[in-house]
Amino acid sequence: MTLAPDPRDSRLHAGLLAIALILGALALLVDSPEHSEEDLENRTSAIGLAQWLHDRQPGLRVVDLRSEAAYQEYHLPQAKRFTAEEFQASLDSTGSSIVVVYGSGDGMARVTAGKAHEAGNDRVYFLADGVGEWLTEVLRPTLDTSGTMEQRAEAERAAALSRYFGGRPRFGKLTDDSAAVPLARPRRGCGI
Amino acid sequence: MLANQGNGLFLALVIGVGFGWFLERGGLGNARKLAGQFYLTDLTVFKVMFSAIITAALGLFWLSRLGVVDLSQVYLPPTYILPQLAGGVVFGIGFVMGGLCPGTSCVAMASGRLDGLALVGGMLGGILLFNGLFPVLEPFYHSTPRGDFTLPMLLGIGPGTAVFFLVALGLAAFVAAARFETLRASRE
Amino acid sequence: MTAGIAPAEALHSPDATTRTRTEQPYLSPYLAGVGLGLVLLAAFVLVGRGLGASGAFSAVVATGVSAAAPEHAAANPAYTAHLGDGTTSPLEDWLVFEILGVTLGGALSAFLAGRFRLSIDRGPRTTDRSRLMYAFGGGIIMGLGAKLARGCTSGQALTGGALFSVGSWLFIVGAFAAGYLAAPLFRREWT
Repeated sequence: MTLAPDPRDSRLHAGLLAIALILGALALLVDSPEHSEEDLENRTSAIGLAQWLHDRQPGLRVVDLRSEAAYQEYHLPQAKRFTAEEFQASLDSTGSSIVVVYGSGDGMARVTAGKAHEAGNDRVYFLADGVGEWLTEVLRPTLDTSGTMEQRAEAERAAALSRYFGGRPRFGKLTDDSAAVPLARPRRGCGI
Repeated sequence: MLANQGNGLFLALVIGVGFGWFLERGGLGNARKLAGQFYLTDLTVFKVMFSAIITAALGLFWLSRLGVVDLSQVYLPPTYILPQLAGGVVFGIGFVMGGLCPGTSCVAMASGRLDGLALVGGMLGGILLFNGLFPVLEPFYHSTPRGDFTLPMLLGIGPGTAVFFLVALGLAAFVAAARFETLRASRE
Repeated sequence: MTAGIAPAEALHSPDATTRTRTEQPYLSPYLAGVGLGLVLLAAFVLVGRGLGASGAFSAVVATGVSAAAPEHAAANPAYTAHLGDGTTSPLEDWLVFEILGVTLGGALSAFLAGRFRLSIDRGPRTTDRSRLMYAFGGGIIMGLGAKLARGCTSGQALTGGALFSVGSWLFIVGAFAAGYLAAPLFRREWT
């Protein structure tokens, strides 16, 4: 059944086509490699790292960029200590699939990951808030179980991960004066 | 960003109404039209889906660029390479067999289509089956996680470049589809 | 006008005379697509998430199973993901309300366009019974696929596709490829 197309439709189509082409071409032009969105793409959450560690992600490297003293006092599971320069040098020789760098939350990890990306290593992620993020999100999280299905599922997952690493999750409604840290990214998937 | 309670649920309803409206208006509540995609007799599915993807991707890029939207607050489905590829393949087989997908089956049901109702029943059964088999499927289900992983990240390009290529390829595909349809019509 | 048509035929005849209103033509697929895209965009902007469908079905199954077999549900991580600590119903969920909206919107559009009728859409060479069985079977398979892929055409293809998620695009490629490859098996049903 081939009806002749409505002429109003054709004009509308042409208009939409033009808008799409113009906006698309402009998008290409305004794009820049230093755009801050890339920063976010390098970032991983502590829960994300916990999941990788739990799933034994092959080739995963965890890199601690802090001082020797800080590292000895406490470091993340499987973390090895590097200075930023040593880390850059180590990238060329290893064929690991995912690297997560962390520091004390002062931005060094982000810069290091950014440099690694510029050098062509795309699988380098950073923990934005350093060791602190691991402590508050994985080892001592306060999880809100009163939300929607997806939020509860996320809380369940986070609690299981927390216990896997010897943490002690607390459950309860998030109130203004609680020391809870929200989950890194609210999980609202289509299927669980 | 609104909460997922109260207001949020009402907004979900409203957005859903818009979703269902355009699905039905485009003819996607009709299983014959949907299945026609796989016999190349009706390319509606392709046209609707890619017009939608392009519109949303373009809109999101520009709203983010102009500071209206904070992309870090938009939920990105995590990537699991193998399960999602395998799930896609399985889903595709079911799709051409059933003629409707989860969303469109509701639209079909809402227009009185009994096959839509049957499909909804099947899907509930399939989910039940999956959950029952979950202990066995779980290792595969959680395999090959890549977390937040986008095509721009994979290809080392910026988001604007990705949007441009999406638009260019999409429009080229639409032109090809139109040519194909003209060719087929002239043969009949 | 319907007097001479047997009820079974009236269910699937393409030029059904059992219309309630004059049937309107479909919207151009490009326009419908743009409309859909704008709805998806609204979801991104207003709620910080995209659309979905299979997750709502999953919530329904979880509700049913937790009512019928609570011990089994509590022991299966596939269900506890929906149930959490058990204080809130899995149905109190964004996707469930969204899919209710989809059904309403579909009904409204169909009714206003004169496309609302009790019927079965199928190809000319097959029977209603056969079509219903294939619909049910296809549904089962899609349920499996959607759970495995964490979504369906709405949540993965549309939403994840627009967000350029690699896993979502793998889903799209896998689904379309499999659909085309499996199509010959179901020719009798559609053509």
